[in-house]
Amino acid sequence: MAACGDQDEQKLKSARSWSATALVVARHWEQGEVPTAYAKRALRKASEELANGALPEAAEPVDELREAVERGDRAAVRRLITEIAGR
Amino acid sequence: MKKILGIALGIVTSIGGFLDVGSIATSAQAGAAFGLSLLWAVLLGTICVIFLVEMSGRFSIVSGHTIIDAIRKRFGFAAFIVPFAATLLVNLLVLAAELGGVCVALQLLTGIGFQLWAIPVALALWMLLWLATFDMVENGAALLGLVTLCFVVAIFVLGAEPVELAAGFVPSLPAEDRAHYLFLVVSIIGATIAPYLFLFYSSGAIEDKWDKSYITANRVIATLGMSFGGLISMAVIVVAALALKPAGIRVEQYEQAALMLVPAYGGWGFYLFVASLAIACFGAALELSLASAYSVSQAFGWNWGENLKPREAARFSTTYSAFIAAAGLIVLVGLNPMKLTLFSMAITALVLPLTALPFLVLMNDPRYMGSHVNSRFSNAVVALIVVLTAILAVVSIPLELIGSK
Repeated sequence: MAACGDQDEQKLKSARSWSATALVVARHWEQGEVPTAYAKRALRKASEELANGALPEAAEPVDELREAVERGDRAAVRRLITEIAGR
Repeated sequence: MKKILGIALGIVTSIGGFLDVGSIATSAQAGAAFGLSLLWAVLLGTICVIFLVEMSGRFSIVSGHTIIDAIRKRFGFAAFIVPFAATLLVNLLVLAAELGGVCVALQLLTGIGFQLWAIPVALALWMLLWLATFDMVENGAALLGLVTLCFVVAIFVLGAEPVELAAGFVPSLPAEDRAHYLFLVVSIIGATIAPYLFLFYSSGAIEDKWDKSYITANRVIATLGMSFGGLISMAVIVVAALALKPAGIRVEQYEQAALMLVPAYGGWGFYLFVASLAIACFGAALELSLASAYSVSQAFGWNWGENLKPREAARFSTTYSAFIAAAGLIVLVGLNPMKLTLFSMAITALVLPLTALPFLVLMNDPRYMGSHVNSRFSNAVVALIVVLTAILAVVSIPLELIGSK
């Protein structure tokens, strides 16, 4: 039982970490500090990890971030970062 | 003057060649998850590796033998074959992790999946070993590896608190995640005291024809080179603790680790991380391929030497070619590079006594070492760290496997 509780806790920590990763990647991309190829891949990875982890509902906004990065739409990324960070 | 230049080059290459995929992955994960509290583990590993590297150089200088060659002769082939096979298997896993590290660096840069880089990177590695001399392999990658000093500079840019830094050198247990903490202790020490490092160094002393006039130079290179190298590993922990932990990022994949230098260097930070990862891993892969081929050739009494043409040491060059091909295949299969790295390092710690303890016996054998046998203090330090780490590995690896399911 304790082991199961610990595993759930680890999954939640992992999901929160991927959510934070997505925000930081998007912020750095928006400021021109990381290349687009990396940002797209990192956001896709974050979305996959969230969808299969403890916070599947957090995957959708990350997908929106990735789509905005793919379009090269920095204004949309800036708006989405503010929205996600405010939740 | 020539010897002083040699010592300086030896120190510089030890610094530039210290960091590898294991040090980067374990330190990044440690700093992001536990802040500065695992600095002591790097310090412990660095102390042990200073002793082991100095001993391996001294052993080759005084006895004229490499470690593997001497272990086989001293203990007999039957007693030697099991630890030898275990060490080779670990070398193969670590080589795959290093190749994977280069491939991940290229993936970060281009967005093209790391598996697709496995064959080109393995071919580049093989071609370099086929064409280059020992000095080119040893010095070239290590000099380029000085780029990893960017982690040390980043500490000053980000501004670490000296009191918190000092507290990190006192061993402690966290209130939560203890199993993962202990697993990271084992992985960090395994990454720092990789057997290939001192097996390579021992063979290098023979390749470079070191004689007894190099005893002091060997001591200086081992002490200063490994100390400064350990400092870079510690810097990775500090940078991850300052840049990733406050943002709530734990390092489970290299995509997360790649962010750690951006707060210090802005746009350059990402590229400095990619360059550090690629160069450190490629340099370590060169050394590992050679160390494995040295070990096999010395075990079976074949001709060996990177300074020989491939046709003059055909079985030696075939061995490193086979190792590179096998490691390339492991990367091609697509195993998670970060998990492969962490488990390779933990298993390295587990099998460390199989190489280190027989080596200690040799270091105390006057038939090999004459008046240069080990002091009791050296024996105690290495035996204690190696055995304690292996026991910790036995406990923490199953716990980590259960926890990661």
